[in-house]
Amino acid sequence: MRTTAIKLFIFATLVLLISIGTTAQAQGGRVELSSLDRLTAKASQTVDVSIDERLIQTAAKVLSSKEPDEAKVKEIVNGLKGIYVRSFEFEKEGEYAAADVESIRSQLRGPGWTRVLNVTSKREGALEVYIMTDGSSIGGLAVLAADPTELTVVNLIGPVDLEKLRALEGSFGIPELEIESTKPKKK
Amino acid sequence: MSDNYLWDKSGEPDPLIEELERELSSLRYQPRPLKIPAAHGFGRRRFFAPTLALAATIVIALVAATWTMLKTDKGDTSDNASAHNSSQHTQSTAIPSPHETSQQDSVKEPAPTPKEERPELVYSSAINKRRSVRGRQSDSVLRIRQRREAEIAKDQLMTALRLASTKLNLAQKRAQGTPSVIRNQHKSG
Repeated sequence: MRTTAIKLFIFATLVLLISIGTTAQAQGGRVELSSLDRLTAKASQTVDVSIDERLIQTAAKVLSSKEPDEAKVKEIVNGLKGIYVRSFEFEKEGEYAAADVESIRSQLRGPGWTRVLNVTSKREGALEVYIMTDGSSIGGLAVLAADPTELTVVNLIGPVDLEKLRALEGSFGIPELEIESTKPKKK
Repeated sequence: MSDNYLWDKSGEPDPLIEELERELSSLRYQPRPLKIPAAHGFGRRRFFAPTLALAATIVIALVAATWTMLKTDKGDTSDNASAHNSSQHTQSTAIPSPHETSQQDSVKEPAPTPKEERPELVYSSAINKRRSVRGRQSDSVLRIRQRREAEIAKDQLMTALRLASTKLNLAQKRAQGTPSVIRNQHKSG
């Protein structure tokens, strides 16, 4: 009888832990980016941003509502639960493996994620945009950019206005990057 | 007369013994099935362990749920708490200083004569003053730290959003420039 009780207890605890784990994993569509950390040593330039909800709210406090640019940002981050970015720039090609990209892509194939854009070229690599639908609204965004010399993953958790986010480039006195036109063309 | 009757009832019976036997026969051992009182039945004990396990599971679930909720709302709570604290600090700065308070008190209450002045009150007032100065210093340090943390977070936020915006624009430009390779609205999940 005692054995049965122990078994029941262990089973219930396991079910509970699994459900908590699954909930935490699926919470808000966070993409696990730690698999890319090993690329830091190879990269010539790295951008590593991890901002949780608390930090977003802290940052939002110092954003002025009177400044138009800051007001825009404040509007965008309102409701966001997390912003996670890993960007690696390499001096030469082939510094990251296809498996690195696949580790991210496999997560984005999971339930809830929808790939809305996929542009692939041999010269410029792949650029994929995923959104997590939360009912009728967007509950998360992920951008995966895999150039020959650059790997960038952006993961925004929470409601995202894509148009407002897109319009942010060029704000804060920084011109639009025009990345494509500035890249040297290979012959 | 032998004592064999007393030993194994084989000898000649003694009338006195027989009389005694008859008298005590009602108290003789009579074999019958064991009766277990209902209050001490095994049935109840049987259900004790699973109930305990279930209760423990429920307690663990409640603790886990509370922990998860607290973790999720940590940002809100801490920010609200800090905001509340800062408002409290603001209020505390609006509160008259101990020096002023002592002046007000002196107006309200009759001024003690030098003979009535109690040294322990003077001492506690000095301690309170020192505490309030320390409190104000720690508040300002806390505010500076929070401000610095907020500025760092803002910079990170800007970097992240700028990068996200750039990549989205780049995606759109590439999609417009090379329509043949676009695969829109592909459901992967």
